[in-house]
Amino acid sequence: MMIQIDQLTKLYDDHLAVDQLSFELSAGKICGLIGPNGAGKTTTMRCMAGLIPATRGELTVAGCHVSGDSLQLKQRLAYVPDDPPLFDDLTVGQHLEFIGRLYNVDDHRTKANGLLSQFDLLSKINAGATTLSRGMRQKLAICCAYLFDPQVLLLDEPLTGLDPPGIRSLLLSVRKRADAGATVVISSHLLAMIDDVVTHLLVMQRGRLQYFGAAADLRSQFPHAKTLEEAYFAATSNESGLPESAALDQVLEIKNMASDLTEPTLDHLALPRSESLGEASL
Amino acid sequence: MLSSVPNQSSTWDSPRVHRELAALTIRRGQFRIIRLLQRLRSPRRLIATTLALVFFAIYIANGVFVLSARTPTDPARLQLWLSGGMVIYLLYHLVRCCWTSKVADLEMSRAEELWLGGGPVRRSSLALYHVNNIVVAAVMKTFLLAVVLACDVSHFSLLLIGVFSSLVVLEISRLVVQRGTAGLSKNSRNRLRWGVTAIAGAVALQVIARVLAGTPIGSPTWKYLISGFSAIGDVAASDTIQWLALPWISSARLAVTADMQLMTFAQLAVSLLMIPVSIAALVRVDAWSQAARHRREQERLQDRSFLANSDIRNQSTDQSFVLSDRVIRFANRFGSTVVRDALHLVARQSVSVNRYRGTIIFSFIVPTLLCLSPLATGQITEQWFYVVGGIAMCTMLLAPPALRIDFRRDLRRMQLLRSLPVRPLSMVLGQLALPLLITLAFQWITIVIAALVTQPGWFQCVLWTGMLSALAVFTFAAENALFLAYPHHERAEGIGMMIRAKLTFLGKAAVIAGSLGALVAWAVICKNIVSPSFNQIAFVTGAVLTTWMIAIASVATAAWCWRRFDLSYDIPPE
Repeated sequence: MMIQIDQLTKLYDDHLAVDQLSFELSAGKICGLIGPNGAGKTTTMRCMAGLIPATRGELTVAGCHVSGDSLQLKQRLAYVPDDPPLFDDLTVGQHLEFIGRLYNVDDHRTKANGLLSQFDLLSKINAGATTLSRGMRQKLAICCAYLFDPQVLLLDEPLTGLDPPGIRSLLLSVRKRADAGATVVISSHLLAMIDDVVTHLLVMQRGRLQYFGAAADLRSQFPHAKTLEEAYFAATSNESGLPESAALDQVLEIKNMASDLTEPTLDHLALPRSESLGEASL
Repeated sequence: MLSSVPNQSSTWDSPRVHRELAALTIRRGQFRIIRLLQRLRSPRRLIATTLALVFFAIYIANGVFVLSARTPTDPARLQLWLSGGMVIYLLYHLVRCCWTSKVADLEMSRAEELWLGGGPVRRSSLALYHVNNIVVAAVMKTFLLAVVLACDVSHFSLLLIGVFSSLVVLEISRLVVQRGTAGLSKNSRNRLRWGVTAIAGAVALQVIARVLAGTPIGSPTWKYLISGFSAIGDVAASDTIQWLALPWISSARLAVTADMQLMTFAQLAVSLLMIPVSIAALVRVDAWSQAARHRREQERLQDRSFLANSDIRNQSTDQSFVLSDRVIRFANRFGSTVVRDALHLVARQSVSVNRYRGTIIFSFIVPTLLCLSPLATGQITEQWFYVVGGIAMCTMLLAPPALRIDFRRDLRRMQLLRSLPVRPLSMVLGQLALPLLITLAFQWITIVIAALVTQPGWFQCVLWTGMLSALAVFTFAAENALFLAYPHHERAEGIGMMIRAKLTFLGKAAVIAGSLGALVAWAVICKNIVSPSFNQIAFVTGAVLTTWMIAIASVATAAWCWRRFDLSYDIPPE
């Protein structure tokens, strides 16, 4: 098992952000971490990354016990937060140079150039971090995370701010890394986007686990749910005691209202469920 | 891919990691230097560049030609300031940390927290990285101090090393105090809070007692002021403070070395050794602080005490919204949009004032007592003017740093403020209203007490109340205008900040001196031109009106600076 979380609990001052969360994930799996705002998703990720100490619970990630100064863990894990902060006084290239050297990555310059090319940032290699758009900052942070080939990838809202080619490139790269043995946890509210890549789902609400298991099994728990989004609403609505059918009725009402609008869909970005992947075309 | 696994049992990273962190510091420093040079040449920064260059030239010329020709002071006094003075500063910082609820984690930026805190870097290396960033500022401060002190010592190079070592050890000790207090439990912090406040009070009483003992009764008040500095030096020289100043004794003695002896080399070695020793202490205290905080978090989870506190906190939050709603409803009765918009911002500021009320009150109690201290000397005529002078000094020098709840704390929120549908004047009035009201409350309370004791007459009361109020408005408006024209982050350090602080201080001193001169001139004019029965009224009216016109002009300037603020250019890197 690459990730083993047992009774994770995190208390901030007077707020219990995560309450007795337990799950396990093996190598090569991609877990979608979903839940309403304030569910405890980011706190869970930060605890797994060793950035903040868990108040209680046993966390083993990439074979390392997560506690205090977990250097081995940090060398095997990459965490990309929502709206990642960058060093204002470094350029794109200097960020990758620093990460490559700090993590002692072999031939980091060649790898860095490859990643920048993949995410369409090569032309910005000498640009200062403050000159980058939100999406570019996201891409740079992902490049930094990929540079040292981590065994575990924690991505918090990685799709926010990315352009469509960037989204496709990211999701393809995630699938590719998982196939190579990495374990990925993606937290995202864009359920339709991650539906095709995730193998497992972890649904949280108010700090507690609502569901963990194979993505297909979530839908089988709610047979009326045709998409991940519908299953999510059903899973999170059930805590309030609504029957599943009532929860889904709400979803269908929203969808009917939405279908009256002539907004283009993003179906063309849905990824094929093929085992082998070619290079992402940008 | 990865060459080696670090030794988990060691507290320190390998030299390679430290090299990379040093390289990061250098690279970031290079960027800042290039940016500084670009901005110095920018037309938007023309005034700041000119002032900075003029200041530097005057400072160096003054040091080389004027200060070098003065009579050298006793090196023993310098030694006492470099040792005991550091302890007194640390004591002040300890009191501040104990009364602040905010917990600072090695003062790292968000990017440093993520990439260094989340990277394969031990906490000890993060502490060392932070100390490296302090070194540059310490070098600049050492240079500026050494220019002034050069003629008091025999060996300039030893002065440089001694002062540098003292400043770096002081800065690291400040971090130790900060991390140490962050690790305390609520009860321990409360006990320490009152304990150090009592100690600080005892030190203050000692200073006062020495002043009273060392100044003949009936002396003019300026003699008491001079004695005050001497008294602080005597307290710094006391046995207790000197024992506490052990970490600085060697560097202080090194700085004032008269003749090179074997002992000098020992002092040199100890001075330089104190830096790694204090870093090691910081690492230890930081580790303890983190472990202590985690242990208490687990205890709170165990006994579920956080549930009760959570309910209390929710109630208190509701209360502040109720208060804000009342303020807004009251404001809506006014027809003016400017006032209404400003009051919305005041409501937001009131939440911060409520949260930091303890710190704010503490920040003004000591200045109030200091301003009223001349009343104890018994010379009625002079005391009123010294109280007024004290209020003016505190308004200009102490109030702005104590009440940073205006634009100066909103650098990260400038985009949000810019996006609000609020006129520039309303924005400035809204941001400055509460700091001004607090400062005015301090002024009026002090004036009332002084007036009750000294009975200066209504002209004096009206004159100084009116003028000091205008001074408060001018001070805060000017500080914010300066910030909006040349913004900086809260904990910014470096040569730019140092020059800024010195220029601001000199500017304020010039304003006070100029105002006094203008006041005297106006008094002479009124006496010569206006008939005796009206010259007091004319003097008071003219003085108050003029100062208020300047104050209003400064508010208009601040509004202009806010209008001019450019999100894409003016916000400096963090």
